[in-house]
Amino acid sequence: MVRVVIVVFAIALVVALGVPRIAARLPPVPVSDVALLSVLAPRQLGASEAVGVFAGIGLPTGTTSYRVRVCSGETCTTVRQGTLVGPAEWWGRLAIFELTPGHHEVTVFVLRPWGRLGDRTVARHVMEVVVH
Amino acid sequence: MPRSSMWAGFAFVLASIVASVAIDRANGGPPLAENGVPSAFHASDTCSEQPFSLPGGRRIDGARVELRGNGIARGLVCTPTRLTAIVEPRTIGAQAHVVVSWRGSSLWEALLEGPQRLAVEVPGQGWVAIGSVTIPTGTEVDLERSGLWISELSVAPSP
Repeated sequence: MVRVVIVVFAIALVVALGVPRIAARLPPVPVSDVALLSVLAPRQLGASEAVGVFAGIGLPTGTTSYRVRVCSGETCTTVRQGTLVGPAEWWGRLAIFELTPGHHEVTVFVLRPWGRLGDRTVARHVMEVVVH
Repeated sequence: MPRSSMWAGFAFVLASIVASVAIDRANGGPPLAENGVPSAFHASDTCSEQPFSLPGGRRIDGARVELRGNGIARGLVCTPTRLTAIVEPRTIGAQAHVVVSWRGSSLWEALLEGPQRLAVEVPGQGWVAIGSVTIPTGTEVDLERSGLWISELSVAPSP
């Protein structure tokens, strides 16, 4: 009985740690080819203002995606996502949205295609925004 | 249970972990959840300063320039730098929520109703961006009225 448990545990471990990565034949992780140059957003604002999130991104050849997520308390919402095409140095507005009074966490994600598994986050920036 | 079976199982598990780590290293690192990705702002060993410019590439060079709508003025500094400028809403009677950002940090932020001189210390290498970052809620974005005037912009090494 103990032997069966050990064998099942070992097989589960192999499947969890190794086999998916071998099967997917993942390419190298694309970490160094996207440059997040700057992120611009208000940190303190009034309830009568809508938040704009701006960025400069050094785009490598091909498609780069971005996502802007807002977390208010336990609730997180993606307020905007889009695609940029490089090579280029891109500066512009990623998102504009309204927030209720309180503390919010705004996160900018930059993603690159990664093998057959879809996109992978290669850069991330978190900001706290307070609405009065 | 025979002791040899236990050792065989232990060796098998250990080999699996080692193989997994080796595969991760060959792929450039383990797959990361979003929360494991660090902020990645550009930094280079071969920094070359780039003067402040407007969208489209026009250099500012201390002149009084118009930054329309949600445009961003930006420049690359390579050493600790003192940045000074006068910023004001593009339209008389309008407000402008202006932020000066270095990489991901906000160095200066103000809600302007008229001209204001700013002076910020940029801590080191990185892109510095200036822009008007909010619009009034419940209104159409009025790009004809929004934006900034920037004048007397200058950069100098920090004292």
